[in-house]
Amino acid sequence: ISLDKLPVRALDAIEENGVERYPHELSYDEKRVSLIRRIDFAWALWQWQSMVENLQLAHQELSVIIDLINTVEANDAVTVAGMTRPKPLPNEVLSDLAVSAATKLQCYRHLGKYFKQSAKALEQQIAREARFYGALIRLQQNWKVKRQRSNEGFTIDLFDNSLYDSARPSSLSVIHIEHDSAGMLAINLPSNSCHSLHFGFLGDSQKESMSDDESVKETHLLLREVHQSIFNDQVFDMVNREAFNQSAGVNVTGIRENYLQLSIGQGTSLFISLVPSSKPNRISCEIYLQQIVHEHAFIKGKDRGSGLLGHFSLSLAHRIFSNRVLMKLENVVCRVPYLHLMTHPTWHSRTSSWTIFMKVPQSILHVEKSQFRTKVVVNDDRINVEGEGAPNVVGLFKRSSEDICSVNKYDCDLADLPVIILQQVASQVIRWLHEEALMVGIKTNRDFLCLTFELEQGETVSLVAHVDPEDIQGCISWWLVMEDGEDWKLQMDRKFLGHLSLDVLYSTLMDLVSLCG
Amino acid sequence: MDSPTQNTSLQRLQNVEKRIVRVLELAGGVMDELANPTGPRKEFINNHCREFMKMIKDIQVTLRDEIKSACEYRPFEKCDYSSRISNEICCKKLEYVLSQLDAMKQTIDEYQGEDVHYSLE
Repeated sequence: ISLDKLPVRALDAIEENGVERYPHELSYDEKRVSLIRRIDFAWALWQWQSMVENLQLAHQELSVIIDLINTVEANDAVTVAGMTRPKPLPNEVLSDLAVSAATKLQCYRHLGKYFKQSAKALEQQIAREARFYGALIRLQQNWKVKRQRSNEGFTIDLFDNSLYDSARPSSLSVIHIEHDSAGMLAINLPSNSCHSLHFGFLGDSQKESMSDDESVKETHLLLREVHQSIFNDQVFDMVNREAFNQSAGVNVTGIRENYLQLSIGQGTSLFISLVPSSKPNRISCEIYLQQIVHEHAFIKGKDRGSGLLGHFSLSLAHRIFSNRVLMKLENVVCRVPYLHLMTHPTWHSRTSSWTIFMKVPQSILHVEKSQFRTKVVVNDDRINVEGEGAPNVVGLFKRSSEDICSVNKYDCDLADLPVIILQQVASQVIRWLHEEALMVGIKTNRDFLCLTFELEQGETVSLVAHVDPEDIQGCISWWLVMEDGEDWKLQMDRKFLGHLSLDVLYSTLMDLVSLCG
Repeated sequence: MDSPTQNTSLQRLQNVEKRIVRVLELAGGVMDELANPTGPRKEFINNHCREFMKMIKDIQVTLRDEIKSACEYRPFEKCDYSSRISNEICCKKLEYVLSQLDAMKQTIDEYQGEDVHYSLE
């Protein structure tokens, strides 16, 4: 049986008029507090109270001590004579020992870990730096590496102050050495710094595929480029400085940025510029200009004057002129099969020299002399031709090298050069034929380009050379001219023989000889 | 000590660095051994400390030598920038000559090719 409690509430009071007064309904917190009040804390209270008392006593003692310390601190007359610790109990001693031992072991463990971690980190750093310093030392063998005081970095100084004392250090002269992302040595150049750079810049994408060795070589190559570029800047500076000097012998006809246009001599115009694309046919001039600037850099002082550019422009003018001379000579030589052209190095920038050889067929007696030489020498723009004549027969039998050859020597100008050469050669052929005829006992008359045989009854037959530089089939051609001496006005017959080789000429000569004989 | 193959200054200094790393490792090993709860082994500690002292001595000797020889080095005494430029100019001359020779060879080849062509006809 269970009984529900009736929802009966206790009455507090009832009034005369029947109104019921109920007690005040307690809130949840109030109910809780009243329940707690009903618990008996007597047992705990006593312990709490003793703890409170202990703390109060301790607090009092501490206050006394603090007071005492403050007094001692403030008062110089009173000092602490000594302090003793209360003697520790055995279990306290042991526990202190245990704690300190444990602390020590922990310190050792920490130290051990610290040392090992440091060793590892140092090892990695060493490996990174070994690559960097290995590369730096390789570069240092060729370049001036300097240490910066400010930030412990390195730079490479490309300026050579021992030579170009009149030049200023270029902004390119100092190259900063940096680290790339992997810690390896790298140099970066501003994009528009170098006039003659052909390579791109060091970038990470390139680095991945490059070994350390390739990377150092690449850096070395870049430094070479910059070093040369600085020198090129100085060459250009020198040209600029001297070009405006009147005594240099050149006129400035145009100026642009990094570009100078000059006129030299008669109608030769050239430019010097600092752009990377240099036309191939100017390379040798470029090299020569660089060379003479470099050589003259060793001359200290101001006595250089305008010598460099003047000398260079004269050399250039000579080069251009001698190219034209060579072209004329080649045109002549390639059209005459028995001529050979040889170029001689003169080791002088304003002199050129060639020899034209003519080889004649060997005959019985002429064992030594089988070729005739014509020498062409050009100094600046003056041409000198030196032609060897036929050998002196007496001298030949004496077998002495002097008096063997007579030499014609004369100056000429460019337009006349081909004709002069051909005439010289043709006269040498005539002389040779004359000698050959003499060898077989026939006397002939030799004129400049003509060999005449006397026949009976005053008739003559002549072998006549004709030179024509424009003749495509051959510059030297031959005519046979027959004259009737008595009645020369009427009888003159000429036969064109063509462009004969020397062998054919010789056999023609022998035919004529037999005709005379 | 250094073997005869390590004859550059840089290699000797890099060796010193490696030894420092080794010295740190030895110190760490000794500390770990001292932290051993059953107590450190005497032999182990002795060996490590002996090697430690030997390494320190090697480092000291090498560094002393290197510092002495570094002081003798006068920087940029023989600057070769000028002869470098000379060489660059010579290189350019050689390149130019080579290009001329190549052109000559090409001309010769063309002539010989022509001869062959004519003889076939």
